[in-house]
Amino acid sequence: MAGKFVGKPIPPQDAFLKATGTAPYNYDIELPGMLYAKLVTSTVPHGRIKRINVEEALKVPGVVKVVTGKDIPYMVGMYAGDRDLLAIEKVRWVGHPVAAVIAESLEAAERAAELVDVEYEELPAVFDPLEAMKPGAPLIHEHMEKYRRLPVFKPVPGTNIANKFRVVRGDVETALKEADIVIEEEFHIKHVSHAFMETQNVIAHWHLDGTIEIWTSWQNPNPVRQIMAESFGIPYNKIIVKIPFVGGGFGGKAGLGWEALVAVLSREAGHRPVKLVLSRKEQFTSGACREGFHAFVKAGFKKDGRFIAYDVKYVLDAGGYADYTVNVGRAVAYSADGSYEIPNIRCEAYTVYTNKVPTTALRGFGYSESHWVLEQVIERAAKKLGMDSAEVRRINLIKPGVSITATGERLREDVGNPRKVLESILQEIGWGKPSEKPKEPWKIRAKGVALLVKGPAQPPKAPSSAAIKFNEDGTINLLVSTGNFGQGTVTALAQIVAEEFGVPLESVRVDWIRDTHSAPYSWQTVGSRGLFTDGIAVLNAVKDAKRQIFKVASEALRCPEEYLELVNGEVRVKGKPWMKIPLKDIVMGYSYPDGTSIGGPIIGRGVYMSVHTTNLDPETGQGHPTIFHTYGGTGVEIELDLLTGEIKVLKAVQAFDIGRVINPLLLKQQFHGGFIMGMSIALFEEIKFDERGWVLNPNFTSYYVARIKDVPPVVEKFVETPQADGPYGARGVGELTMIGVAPAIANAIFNAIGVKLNNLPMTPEEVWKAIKAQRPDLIEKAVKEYQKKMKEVKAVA
Amino acid sequence: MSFGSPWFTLPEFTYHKPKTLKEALELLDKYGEEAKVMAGGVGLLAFMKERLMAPSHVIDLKGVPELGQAIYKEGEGLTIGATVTLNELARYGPLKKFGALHDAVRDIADPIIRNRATLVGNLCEAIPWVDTPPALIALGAEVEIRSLKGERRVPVKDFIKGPVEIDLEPGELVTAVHVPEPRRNSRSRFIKYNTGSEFALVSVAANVVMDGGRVRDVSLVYGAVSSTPQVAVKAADALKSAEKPWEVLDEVGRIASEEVEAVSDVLASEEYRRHLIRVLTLRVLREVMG
Amino acid sequence: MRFEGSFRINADRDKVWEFISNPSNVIQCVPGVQDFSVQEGKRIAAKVKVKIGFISGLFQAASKVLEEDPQNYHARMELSGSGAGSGFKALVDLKLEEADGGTELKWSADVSISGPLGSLAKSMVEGYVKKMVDQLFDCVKRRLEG
Ligand SMILES: Cc1cc2nc3c(=O)[nH]c(=O)nc-3n(C[C@H](O)[C@H](O)[C@H](O)COP(=O)(O)OP(=O)(O)OC[C@H]3O[C@@H](n4cnc5c(N)ncnc54)[C@H](O)[C@@H]3O)c2cc1C
Repeated sequence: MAGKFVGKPIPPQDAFLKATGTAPYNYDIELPGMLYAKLVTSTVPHGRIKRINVEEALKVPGVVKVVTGKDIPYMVGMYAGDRDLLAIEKVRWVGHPVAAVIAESLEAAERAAELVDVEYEELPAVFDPLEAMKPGAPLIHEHMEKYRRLPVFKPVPGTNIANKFRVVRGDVETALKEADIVIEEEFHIKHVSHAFMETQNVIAHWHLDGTIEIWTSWQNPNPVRQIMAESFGIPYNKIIVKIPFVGGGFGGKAGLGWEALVAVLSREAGHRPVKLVLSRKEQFTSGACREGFHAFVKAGFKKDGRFIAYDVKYVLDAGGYADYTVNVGRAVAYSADGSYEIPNIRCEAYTVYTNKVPTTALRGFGYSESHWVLEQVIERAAKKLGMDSAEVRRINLIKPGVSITATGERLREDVGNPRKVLESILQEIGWGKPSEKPKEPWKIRAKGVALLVKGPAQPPKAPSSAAIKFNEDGTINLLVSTGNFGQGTVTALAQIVAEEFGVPLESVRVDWIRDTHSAPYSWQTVGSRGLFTDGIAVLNAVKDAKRQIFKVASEALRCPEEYLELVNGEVRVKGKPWMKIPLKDIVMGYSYPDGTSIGGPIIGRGVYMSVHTTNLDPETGQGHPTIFHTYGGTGVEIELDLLTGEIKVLKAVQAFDIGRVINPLLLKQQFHGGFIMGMSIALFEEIKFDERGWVLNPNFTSYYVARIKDVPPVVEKFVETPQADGPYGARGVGELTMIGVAPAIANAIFNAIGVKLNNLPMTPEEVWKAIKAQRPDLIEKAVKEYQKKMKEVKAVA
Repeated sequence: MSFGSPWFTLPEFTYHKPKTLKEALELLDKYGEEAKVMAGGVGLLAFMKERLMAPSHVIDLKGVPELGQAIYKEGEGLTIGATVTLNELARYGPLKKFGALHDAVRDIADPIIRNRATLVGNLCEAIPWVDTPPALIALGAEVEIRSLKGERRVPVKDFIKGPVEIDLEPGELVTAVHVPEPRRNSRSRFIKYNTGSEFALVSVAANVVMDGGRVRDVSLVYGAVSSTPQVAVKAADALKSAEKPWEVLDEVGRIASEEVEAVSDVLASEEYRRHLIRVLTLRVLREVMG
Repeated sequence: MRFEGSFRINADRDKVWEFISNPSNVIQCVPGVQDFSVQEGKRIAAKVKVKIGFISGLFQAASKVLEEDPQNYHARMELSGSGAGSGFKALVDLKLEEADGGTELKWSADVSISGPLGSLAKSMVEGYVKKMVDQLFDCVKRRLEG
């Protein structure tokens, strides 16, 4: 069905305000009588707080109060529940907030924060998760069994293991013995930052009547409310969370942020509103980033290319708290098999505390990590088998309706078409055709491909809802709590509503502000689920509104409902277009000429509820973890400078089976944005720590994020295999677009020169080191080529 | 340069904006160690924000007209006043004669920063990673220093004493940098390697005087490799003494990579830096000798 | 970063030991100390003004004795502190030996510096530590010999 709006390249609804610089972000908001908070943070990686001296700080004019952890001993969290608001008794990383100063101005707050004097008794610290897992390592959370966590998570009290998760299917040991070849490797990923433009910031006002009003730069309001209500023991309806425009989220604004802390600060400061804004450095050192990652794999293949055994151990370096990262530790394990059917599989994932900055979700969490490993394993195996890696992928690809995943889920017929994804990438990138030879003989060009699949990592019960409210003129307010932090989902939702009612797109408005009080519930906007889950809720709300409208119209037009249709904003009698009533005359109730009226204001409501997801078996990880699977992949052509180790991406192809394209413009933007983010993380990004756990590069001059000059052309390939229960057949895609980039690049290098790049990021130095260790001859040859070329140039001149 | 600050606000200070050089020198004399001069402020304000400096008095030079000029005199060279911004300099036609400086200035940061930051500020900041000092040293530039007591000139090479340490006494001000007229048959270039980094991991400036097929004189200066710019003397000698300089370029690069001081830091390891010195030497010599 | 060195003091070993094992003697010799307090167990808390190149900042510093062995004239201490957005930690080892009529003070320190000071000015910090130690022992020497 080609729609009027659905399937059309419609610009995001908020583009105009953003482009004119007038969109109101949380950072811009000031409330009357507002105070400012500043954090005092730990300067030791692990220690007991012996004394906090606030006398000098209190003398600074304008200071209202200095609050410390023992004043507000709450523990909060989404999954592991292991976070304090301010350090209670001990600090767990350099940057751990210890106290908060509240003052009339930011200047006063900062001046006073400098004067808070904290004395620590240092404890032995541990920075390497592999060390932290060993018996006898210093304990970072001594009482993790007491935390209020989701029951599916399994910490190991008395150790630093915040969660242990296993997925087991078949018999890996035997299969490894039966394999013709076994690939054995280690892979590592460094910590990375979400690098959103707007750092986390919150305004909270704990009103005198106990109502808590929160303004925050966050992805979704509901988890904030939920976690605060549960931790404080306050009724949900007393907490109102409002989110205006958000300058980027990328998973780093999911769950709970600083809202609970700032709310308590507001209470402590005499119920005045308080604002906390993190500086970029604080974002790096006190906020949470993506975890460090280690994988140890054994993979067995038969001579004919069949992938028969996969034995993986993942260790996640979660830092000082692991609240959301315990869920990363699940996702990485249940996504271990990617787009392939592997009959014998065993994955163990350990999420481990260390004395480093805490970690959380980041776009595609778990899946980025598992695919960095898996897609390289396929490439290595192909080479060892003497086969084309594309062929090895084809042989092992899942078959819709037939294959069973690592968690024992039989994939549905309409799950998507990974084969078509693969072939379209291969074709576009010119697989099998050698790259053009670069003019500079010390450089080489190569191609690489990686496939991937992802679904939303969420609990089995994670519903959504939507409401459609009509105004007197027939325009529509669409009420959702779908986060709007750059993806454009709400534009797509508005398109759906406009399509269904046949009204102009401008007639459908989604407010800028998400708010727990007036918007219907949605669990979270994460995991690429927004369009899928909230889209279904919206379609159900449309259906509900239409039912009410037809009921009134049927009475007014004296015509049975089944003979009515909604066209161009009017209810008409089928085949008699002159018998009609415009929507505006129905949606507030219909009035007969004599003034008697029927019906009333129309509010359509709709819900989404996941139907086939289940908890996973605690021992084997078997069950249905996700509501859909989107298959996709990335192909790249790269150029490697052997002199410096520098990789440049010349061309990229992104292909995804998104089921149905609702808005090709927004989709392309996701394909591009995801590619850039993926490439930036693949080639550049790394949070560096010194030997005492301090972040060495908490800023954008030494934490490098890709610039426009680094970005190649990206070709988009849409594959559309509709999913029966998706909105118009659509599936989610937002996060996925970055996952394949890193393994595709590494595979290209491996294909060209056989050098294994097991560590992310693949910075020039990292690549140079790998080449030097594995193929030093290539570097010396490159230098010779360079000299030769220089002499030629000279000779010509 | 920024290390990342937890602070949004600056420490308290008194702001002065003198209108004449004399007034500026008097202020500097009066406040001595308590004062810091500000040119573009890009570096100074970042340092203050990070609480690495807390001067009680900030003396803004931008109101002093005589510090705002770049003047080239044929045969004498180029004099760049203390408040000349990097972009003003980049647009100044005669800069092209000073190849290495031209390269360095045009590629610093981004246009917004170059609109504020000055050459003299870039030099006085004396951060190991900044770009103009190696170029200035390779070109034999000198710093002009004034105080109420008088004037002196110091070669840039000696002016930079360490990271964030320069040869400047309290009360003294750098009024200009002077770059002498390039020698006949000379050619200079500056190259930096900063892929995946805002700042150079390694930079090199080369200034070569050719004499037929041979190299009569050469200066090779490496930036960002250590706490101060490094002059490679042995490498330069190897190039000068070579009958066929084109045959020994990699040898020169190797010597340079072994002779200069290089350190590991957040941007690169010592090992990789030494490798880059070798590679960049090849590249820069290709540019200046070709 | 590891530092080590030795100093000769023209005073007998017991006298030197007695002097340096009193924390308030030593702290008064540290250059830049603005304010200090001695707490139980020979712990010291102090505010020290540090100037390195044109970087300057006020450090909150603390020291504690890890081991004291009067028989062998040997002591180990831990110094730590923070300021200028940076932090440091040092493990110091001190030993006194008799040397023709006087005392030879042998010391070594493992110092780690984190934050901007560590990443910017490692070599400067080395120079600073050397200068500071020289000044410190000069002061000790003066007080003991004079
Ligand atoms: C995002 C970013 C990217 C950057 N990228 C680069 C880059 O790629 N390459 C590079 O080289 N640099 C780079 N920098 C550094 C920047 O170029 C320098 O900070 C700038 O050049 C300093 O010049 P200024 O005029 O702003 O100096 P100011 O900040 O005004 O002064 C710097 C220091 O010099 C002193 N000073 C200034 N003028 C005088 C004088 N006349 N006499 C005595 N002392 C003086 C000041 O007191 C201060 O200590 C970057 C900076 C940023 C923020």
